[in-house]
Amino acid sequence: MNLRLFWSLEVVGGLLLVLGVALGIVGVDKFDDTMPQGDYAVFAIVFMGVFLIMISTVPILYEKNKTKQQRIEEKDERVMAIYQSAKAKTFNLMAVSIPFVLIGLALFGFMNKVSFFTLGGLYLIFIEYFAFQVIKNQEMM
Amino acid sequence: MKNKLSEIRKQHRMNQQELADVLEVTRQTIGSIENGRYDPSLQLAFKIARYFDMAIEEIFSDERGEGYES
Repeated sequence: MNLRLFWSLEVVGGLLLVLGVALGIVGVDKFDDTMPQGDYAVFAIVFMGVFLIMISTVPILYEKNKTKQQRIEEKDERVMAIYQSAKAKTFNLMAVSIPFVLIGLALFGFMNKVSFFTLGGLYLIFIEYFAFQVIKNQEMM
Repeated sequence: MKNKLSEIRKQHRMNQQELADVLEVTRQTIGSIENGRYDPSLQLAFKIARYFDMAIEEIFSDERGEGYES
C-alpha cells in the first residue's frame, strides 16, 4: 500500500480544512464579493478537507495496526495471482460490454451526444492506456 | 507441475501452517501447492528448496515426470 500517497492526501485535507475554517472566519466576500452564496464555498472546502482526512486516515491506521498474518496475506503470491486473474477477467468483460451498452443506450435515445462522446472517448482512452501498458511490459520483460 | 512437497514436509514433521510461517506465505498457498492446484513462482520454489536444503528438481517435476532427481 502506498502510504506516501495517503499521507499527502492527509496533508492536503488538513490544509483545505484550515483554509475553509479561515475563509469562514474572515468571510469569502472579503476576497470576492461577486461570488454568489460564498458560504457554500466554505462548506464545500471544509467538507473536502474532512473527506480527504477521513479517506486517508483509515488506510494509514490499518497499515500501522496490521498483524503479521495480514502482511503475509497481502504479499502472498497466490492471493495476488487470484486478484490479478479476477481483475483481468473483469477487464475483459468490461471492455466487451461497455461499447454495446453505450451504443444500445444511444440508439434507443437514452443518451445525448455529450454523454455518448464523453463516455466513448473515455473508453477509448482506457483501451489506449491498456495498449500502452502492453507495449511497456513487452519492453520490460 | 507435480511436487513432493507434502511428503517432504511430513518427513520434516511440520504442519502446513508451520511451513507457511517459515516461507511467509499463507497456509492455503501451501495446501494449494501440495494439491497441485497452484504452481509456485520460481522465487517461492527456490525458497522452498533452500529451506529443505534440496534442489528444486528433487521437489518439483514437470508433467512428463522430469525432475525428482536425487
